[in-house]
Amino acid sequence: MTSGEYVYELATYLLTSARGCIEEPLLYGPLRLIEALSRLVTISQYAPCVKKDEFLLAAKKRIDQNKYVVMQSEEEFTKFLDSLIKEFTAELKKRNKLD
Amino acid sequence: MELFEALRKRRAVRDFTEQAIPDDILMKLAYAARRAPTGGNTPYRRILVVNDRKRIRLIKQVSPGILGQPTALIVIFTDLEVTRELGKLGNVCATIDAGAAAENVALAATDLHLGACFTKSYSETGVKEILNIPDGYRTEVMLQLGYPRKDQPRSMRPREGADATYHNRFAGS
Repeated sequence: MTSGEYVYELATYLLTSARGCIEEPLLYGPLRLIEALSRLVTISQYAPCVKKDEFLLAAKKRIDQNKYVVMQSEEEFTKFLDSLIKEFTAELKKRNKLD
Repeated sequence: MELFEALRKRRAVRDFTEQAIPDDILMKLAYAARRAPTGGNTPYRRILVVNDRKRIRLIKQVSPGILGQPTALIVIFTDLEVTRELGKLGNVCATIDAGAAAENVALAATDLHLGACFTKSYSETGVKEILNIPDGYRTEVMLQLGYPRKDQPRSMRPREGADATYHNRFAGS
């Protein structure tokens, strides 16, 4: 797959997700967004100019393992998202050399 | 596999291996779909089997509900003109009967050691365009199919209320 094809695939995913969100359960919105994050991370495989990011690749793995929780429990899904945010924020501080 | 074993084992499978499903197996699944009833024996149901990988890839692009890589799809859709034979009931019966056909496919898939997942999160417009389904037809449900990957996420436990069953009279929620 070329980088152009990859971006187009992501674009159609986002577009059809947007349409779906009008009628689908509210919680599917966050699911589509987190899935988009997972898909975005692999862009480095197709676009050599985008540096492979080990932190994001690990996050993708966690997302792919946990995203189905949304169909089981809103509470657990929320906790999962919060734990990801905590990791992303800690990483953000680290990358900006902030205590 | 006994029917009740298949009922017990059936689960939503979304992660598949790359192994293709042989044509004769796909035809068995289509047969299972066709064996489901239709209201008043009205022939409004249509079954479309897709195993062209390129077309599946395109359908995935317009189907946010497809998260893995199915090697086949069965799309169950309705000829809306024919539903009119059943009057106003035809519209809702078509959807109910599509569900019956889809469950038949899911049970047959379980029996054949395949994975299946009901999918409704897709763009109706996009899927119809990719599959050349004209106006006058409505897709009801799509089944993702394939051989299950070994590392499946754990099965979901039924949510509270999912198994509510009553005897002789409704006894409250």
